[in-house]
Amino acid sequence: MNREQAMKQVQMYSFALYDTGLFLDTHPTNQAALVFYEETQKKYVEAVAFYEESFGPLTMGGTDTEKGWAWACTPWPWEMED
Amino acid sequence: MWTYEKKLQYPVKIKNTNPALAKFIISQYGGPDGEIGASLRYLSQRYAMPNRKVAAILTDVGNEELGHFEMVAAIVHQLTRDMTIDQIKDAGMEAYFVDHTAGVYAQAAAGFPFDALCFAVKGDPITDLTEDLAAEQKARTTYDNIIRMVDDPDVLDPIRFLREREIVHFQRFGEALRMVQDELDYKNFYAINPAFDLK
Repeated sequence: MNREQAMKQVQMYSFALYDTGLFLDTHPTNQAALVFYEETQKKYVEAVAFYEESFGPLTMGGTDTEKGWAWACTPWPWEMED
Repeated sequence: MWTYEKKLQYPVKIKNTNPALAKFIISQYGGPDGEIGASLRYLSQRYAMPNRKVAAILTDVGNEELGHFEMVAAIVHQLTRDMTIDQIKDAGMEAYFVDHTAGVYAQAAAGFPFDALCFAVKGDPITDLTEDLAAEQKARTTYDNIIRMVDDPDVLDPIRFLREREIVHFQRFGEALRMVQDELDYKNFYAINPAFDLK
């Protein structure tokens, strides 16, 4: 998987979580939404772990110092790299 | 506190330089119905929102709008970063170029700079949520108008995503308004301001 594909996985699961989260804000006891959130959360965590391991941190806190300060060196989202 | 994520909410990848499009799309960056006005409006309204679930909606929608602010900037940047002087002149973008070169500046399509007057905070939950419902529709209409004038599929794709989000936010704000009203006197929603009179 290249960087663009790995990023798309993160964006997809992140968006699904965010949109479901907005729904849960006004429907906090909806069981179907809570189950979907939980299932998607696992996929999101895996997608973020794969991306950060392969292409650098998505947040400053995702830094692995053994790889140096990649945070400031990897492409910015508006750059259209790949 | 906020944490920055080094990603766009939805991909923006525009191959063709086209400052003529950037000239009006920038209105969703710094215009009266643009993303930064929306974000600051909702985040600022939270402090006079006694219902916690409604404060959650204001937080989460306001936060998402910041992500849209970055997406619109990415669109404007990618449409203009390689523009030539001839393209600037053909697009009628000379005035912007003189003031900002190929930087991304928060202004409306008509050229006036971002103005905090566009993010109303009245400190009354019914008033503020009604404002927010209108704000989402105004942003949706702005995106509809933009879509009428864009023919590049690379630009249309993220613009259509942003338009859809306005509709989802409108739905959530409608539910939020109902939640606020459900806690008030159904014979007269306006008897008190729940952000001020219940302390």
